[in-house]
Amino acid sequence: MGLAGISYDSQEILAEFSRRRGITFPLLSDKGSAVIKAFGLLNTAAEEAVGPSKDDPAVAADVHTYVAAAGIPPDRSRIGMAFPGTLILDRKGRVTSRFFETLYFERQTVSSMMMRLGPSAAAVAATRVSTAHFDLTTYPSDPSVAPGNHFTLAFDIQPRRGIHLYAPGASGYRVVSVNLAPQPILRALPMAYPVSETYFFKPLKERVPAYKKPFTLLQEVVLEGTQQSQAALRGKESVTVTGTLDYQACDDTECFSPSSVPLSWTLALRPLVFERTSSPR
Amino acid sequence: MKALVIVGAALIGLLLQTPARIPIDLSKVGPQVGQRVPDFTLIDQVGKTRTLDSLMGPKGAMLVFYRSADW
Repeated sequence: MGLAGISYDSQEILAEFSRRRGITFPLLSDKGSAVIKAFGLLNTAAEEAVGPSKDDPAVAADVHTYVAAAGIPPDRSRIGMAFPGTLILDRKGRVTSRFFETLYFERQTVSSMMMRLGPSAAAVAATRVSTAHFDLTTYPSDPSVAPGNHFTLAFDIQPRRGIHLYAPGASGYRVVSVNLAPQPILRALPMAYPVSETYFFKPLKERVPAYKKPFTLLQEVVLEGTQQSQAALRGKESVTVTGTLDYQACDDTECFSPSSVPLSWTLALRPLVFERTSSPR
Repeated sequence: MKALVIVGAALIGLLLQTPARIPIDLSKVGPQVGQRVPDFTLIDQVGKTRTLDSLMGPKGAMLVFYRSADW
């Protein structure tokens, strides 16, 4: 798959940034923002932030979300920047997926996006757990994350023969779910559930949504990028996420009690880069 | 007559009023799933000319828009 970055920076800035960060894929210079505008991705709030209506509460709210946190002085040099996000295109240039985060300081990691696009070989150490009802392999999308990153925890679940787990929509049973222990620096997003099948439970003559075949749950997690989170993470080298996989398993004749598997994942912490180039804009 | 003038002035006032600002909705900005993106020609960090076509790999392309490499 081809890869390119696009920003409104000059070629000189991109050249220096690439040298410093060892970037070899193309970073395109859209100085003047003609392409960003043609894509409809011009961050209009950057201009409003320094315009006549900047004190309008609705404008200020959008500026706060899309441009800069409250207290950061308005800056004309931001006019022309794009809304940050990623477009995945097929060979004909049609969008197949798009990833745009509302808060300007949040980003999907590339691996987290790739995980959503289909099965990919896990480059990260996985944890394997076997219970009486299934085999579980769980791994994070990334070995390391930075504040503001959206990453994904994957759960490959292989039910034992004859066993099924409950999918969303099943009532009276514990639907398989991931529950992360709350931490101020973490935010779990709604689970992306795969399509389930309808299971017919003969003893009760009922039809319920369930998983019988191997399936994968993807839990998207945000390492908060707020000033408070950055302060809490300062000096730390890793982040440990803990939680449980909660479920209820049944076979064709009986249902077992709801159960929980305790789990944890440790990801190295990458600092944010605040260096600036010395090149002219 | 006076009433008409007032009504007329009110109508003109309504017409002159700037339309309400629509809050930004990121899910609506930019090309949507299924849409084709515009072609472009830009230079990269080493001065090489790149087009949408030249960036395409066998499975398509990933375009990462970001704010700035400078700040």
